[in-house]
Amino acid sequence: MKSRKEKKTVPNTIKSIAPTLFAVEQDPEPVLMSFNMVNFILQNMELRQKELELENIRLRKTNEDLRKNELMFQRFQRIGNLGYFYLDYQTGAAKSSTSFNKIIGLEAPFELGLENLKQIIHPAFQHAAHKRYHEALQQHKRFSGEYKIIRPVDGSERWLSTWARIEFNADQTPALLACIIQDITEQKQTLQSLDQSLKLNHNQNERLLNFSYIISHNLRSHSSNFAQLLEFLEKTNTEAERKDIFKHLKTVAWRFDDTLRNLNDVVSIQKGTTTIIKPLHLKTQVDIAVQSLGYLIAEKNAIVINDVPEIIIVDYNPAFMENILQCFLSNALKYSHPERQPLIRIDYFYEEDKGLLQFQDNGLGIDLNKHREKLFGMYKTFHRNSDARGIDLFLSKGQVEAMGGHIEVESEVNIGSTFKIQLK
Amino acid sequence: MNAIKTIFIVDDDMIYQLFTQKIIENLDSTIGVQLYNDGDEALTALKKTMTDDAQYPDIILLDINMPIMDGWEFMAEYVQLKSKLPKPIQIYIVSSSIAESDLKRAKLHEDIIDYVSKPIETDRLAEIVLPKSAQNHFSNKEWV
Repeated sequence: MKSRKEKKTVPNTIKSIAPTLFAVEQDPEPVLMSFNMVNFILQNMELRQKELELENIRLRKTNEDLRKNELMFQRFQRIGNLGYFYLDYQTGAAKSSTSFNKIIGLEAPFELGLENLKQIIHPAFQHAAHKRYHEALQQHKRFSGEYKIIRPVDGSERWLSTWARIEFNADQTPALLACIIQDITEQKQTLQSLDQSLKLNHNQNERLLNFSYIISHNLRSHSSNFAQLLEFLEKTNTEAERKDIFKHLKTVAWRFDDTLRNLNDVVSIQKGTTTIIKPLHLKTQVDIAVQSLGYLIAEKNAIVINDVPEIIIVDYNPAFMENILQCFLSNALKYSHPERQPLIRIDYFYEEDKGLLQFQDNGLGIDLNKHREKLFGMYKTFHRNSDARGIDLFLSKGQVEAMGGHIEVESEVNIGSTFKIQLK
Repeated sequence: MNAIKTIFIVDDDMIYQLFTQKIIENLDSTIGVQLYNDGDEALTALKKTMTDDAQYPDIILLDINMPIMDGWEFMAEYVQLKSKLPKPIQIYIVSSSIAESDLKRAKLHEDIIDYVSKPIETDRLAEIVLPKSAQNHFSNKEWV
């Protein structure tokens, strides 16, 4: 009975652990032995299980540490706008960090690989990137650089700074490419706006310099003429001479007035950028300028072609626009070539997403090697024309630059000139 | 006898040209005054007169700011030409510019004798165009 009792309890215990083990139960004798065995097995199993559990805990902890490290690593990458990428040359296996994918803007099915990554680089930087990579392959150098990319996910542009290293096998074949990238778009933008304000400052300084130049040179030349003429007047004793001097005094007075007007124009440039800005239909504006210079066009028997597309609307100061268009048009007319019919073409087109207003003529042209720096200077003229004033180009340039644009010129003597104006 | 026979006035200001010419002629009527509107005109004339002793300038009164070719550009051409000239020319910058940079540049230029600020005074012109012995005599006299 005793054994029977024991017989009953054992399977219960055993059953709860692993019932399949104990088919031996049918035979009463071996049960006790079995029981010992089972006990032994059970103990061993418990030990083993404990071991396994410990092992599991260790593994879990390692995994957790790994995950923590990975998260920490991710966090650091996010803080620095960093991402990493590596490529095993033998197997072709590539791996990138989450933040790498986020920066690059990869979509899920994107297959990581050198060729595919190359496609992301902005066309303007592809040549440089390609060159650096191949130099690094040949010369076993680290390489780094700044590139613009076009993100596949939305087509937006980002600036990247990259650092990379290639590791080599003993036989000098490349083994591994490791690369860190940083998104430096914001820094670049800050730098660009800094550049912009620096340029603006520079332009303003230049205008101030011109301003002081008018004061020191032009106003002074009038005042010294006044002084000298008055001295003459005081000492003269013939009526004829007196009349002559008065005539000159009058001329000087008119010039003095002119200079003051110019001075005022220069001063008001800066004010004009913030006051009235209106959307202007460029083609119509050009037509108006052509009309108002009709007398000069007729006199020169010139052909003026307005090729500005109908669609172009520019937000601009209307007075500046009128002045700029008239200046470049009258400039082309004034300096037309005497031996051929003047042909002036006005056009508007895009170059690298910048809108350019272009004036093209077949006139006298300017020797830019000699005169480039003085071309837009104040009171500078390069041809013996009685109507050359040397202030229009200076003012127009000031107005364009004050609006944030700039002017480029190409010219060849006896062939003609082309002015490209980026309005803002 | 005044050694100065010919003076070039190179300036785009006609009024200045006229009265400076008048003052010089009043100081010494034997001096011939030639008027040029810019550096290029003066340079062309200078090249032409290199062989003609009567027309060759002893003095050039040179403005800085002129169209076509300004005073500094003229000086650059003059330096190139110098070795071929029969004799050096006394060059004075006469300008209304009060820019420090222009003054410094003129003082440092070895071919420029002096920088004269406009309006140019009769006494100063007398110093430039008359021999030393005649200067006091003229400076005390009414100039007209």
